[in-house]
Amino acid sequence: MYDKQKNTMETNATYYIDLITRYFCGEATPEDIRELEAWVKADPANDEFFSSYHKTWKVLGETGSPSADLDREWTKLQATILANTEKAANEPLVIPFQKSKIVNLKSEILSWSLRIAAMFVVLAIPAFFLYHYFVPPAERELVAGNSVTEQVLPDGTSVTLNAGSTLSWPSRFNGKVRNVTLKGEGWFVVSHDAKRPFIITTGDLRIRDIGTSFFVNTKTWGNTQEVILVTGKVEVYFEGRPGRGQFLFPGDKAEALADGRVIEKSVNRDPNFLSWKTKHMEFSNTPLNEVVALLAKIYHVSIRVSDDRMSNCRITATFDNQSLESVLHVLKATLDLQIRNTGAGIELSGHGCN
Amino acid sequence: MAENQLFDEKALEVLFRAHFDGLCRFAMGYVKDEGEAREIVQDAFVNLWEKRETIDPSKPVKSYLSSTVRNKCLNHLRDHKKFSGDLLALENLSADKGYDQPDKLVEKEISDRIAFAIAELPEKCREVFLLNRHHHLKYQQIADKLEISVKTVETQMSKALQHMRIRLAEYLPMIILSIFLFHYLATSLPRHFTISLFRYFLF
Repeated sequence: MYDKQKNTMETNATYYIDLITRYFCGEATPEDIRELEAWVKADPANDEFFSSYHKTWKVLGETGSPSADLDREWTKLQATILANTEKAANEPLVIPFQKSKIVNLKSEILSWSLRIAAMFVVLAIPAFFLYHYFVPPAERELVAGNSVTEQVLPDGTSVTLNAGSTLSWPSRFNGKVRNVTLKGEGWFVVSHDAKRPFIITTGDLRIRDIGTSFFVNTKTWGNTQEVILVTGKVEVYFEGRPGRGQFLFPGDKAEALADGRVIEKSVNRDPNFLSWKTKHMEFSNTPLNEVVALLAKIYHVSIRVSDDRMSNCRITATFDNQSLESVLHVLKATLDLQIRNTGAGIELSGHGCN
Repeated sequence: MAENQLFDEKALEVLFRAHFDGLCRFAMGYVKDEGEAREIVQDAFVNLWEKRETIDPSKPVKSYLSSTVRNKCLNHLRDHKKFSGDLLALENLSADKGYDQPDKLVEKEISDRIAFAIAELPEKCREVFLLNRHHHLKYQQIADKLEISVKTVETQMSKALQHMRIRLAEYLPMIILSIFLFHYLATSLPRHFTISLFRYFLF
């Protein structure tokens, strides 16, 4: 009888410790919280019990390493502020009174853009002197062979090309417009110059900046060209028809079929559109085949799933700039995979998932 | 208006780099989720920037930021039906206190102690604990990664926390008291005197 009581008390204690732990780990449901609250109020001993765990948790928390990458977070803040400022500047004038607000916002956008642009001016100056000293060819070209390659252009714009892509640009940006031509996939951080718009030509598509710096990811695959805007504002239009294209805001995506005359605008839903550059990948219940396809692309290896039984396997995970081995290790453990490295590439097989 | 022009992007960056981590920890106390805490703190800085001309320049920016963060946290909890006034009161989060940057002195002493305690955990338990605490994975993600059930993850986390509580129990009341005392004294006594007094308490 005593043992049974003791057992119940122990089970009870375990039950509440589980509940308390869930609470501090952020895993408690609203029902859990109602229950915990009631329990804590029911008895001062419970109150004490909860507090001792709280103190433990607090001490653990204060010595945990700050995991935030401050540079990344700061860039994120800048991008949000820039996006908000532009949205506000583009709201239609309702009353004349608002005009001064717009003027202020425009100078604010300029000031934020200049800050971002400023990072690149420093890089461009030495490059400019180099060009002057060695007589440059009329056109410059960057071919990204097997790996991701970066380049800073004469105006300070920075470009990162995915493997297999090519960018060409004039050795000096004279004239009213700054024109570059892209084949493949590129990430642009354009330095702002209101007097000389920056225009990217890719096939018969044009991407033009509208008064600010912008980050854009462009891609040509099969017959489709795709542009995803991260910050800033751009117009995507077909050659010869500026002003009649799609205007993109941050987070927007434009897709154009080579044989169509239509540019479709949508919201980008793919969190992995820049994985080729950042090696940051997010999967949420993603089928294994898709995961493998992305890995093949990003790490430039041939990987395939050689077992049909694996087709119903799904992955939920985030990988942040890890090596391929590390990623495969996680997949192997999660799905109980066999990994074979043949001469031709990597093969994954297994029993499948339920 | 002229004074506020001094609050430019450079000033914002300085504030951001100084306070982002501390504010995240502060927000974590309320929302208990790393990702949410960071978003809330980001929003607070956006808010600070957008309202910079209307803020009272005589009050410290730090307290403006911590009130903004607190309010956003409370709203978040209410929206998700996870708000409990009683529990927050027990966690000392209901009063209008700002956030404090943790003392470097205290940190070193405790983190050694914690490292030992973690090393004492059984392997599976330690693995689960580290995935949650250092890699910030949720229970479901840990379960997927280690191929175990969520219930097992829960049990292991509880075991780990119980162990940490025991290992730190002898330490806890004294540390909490010392932190309080140190802060109080540091504001009213010469520094060297305060440090020797603190060491006296600790040993």
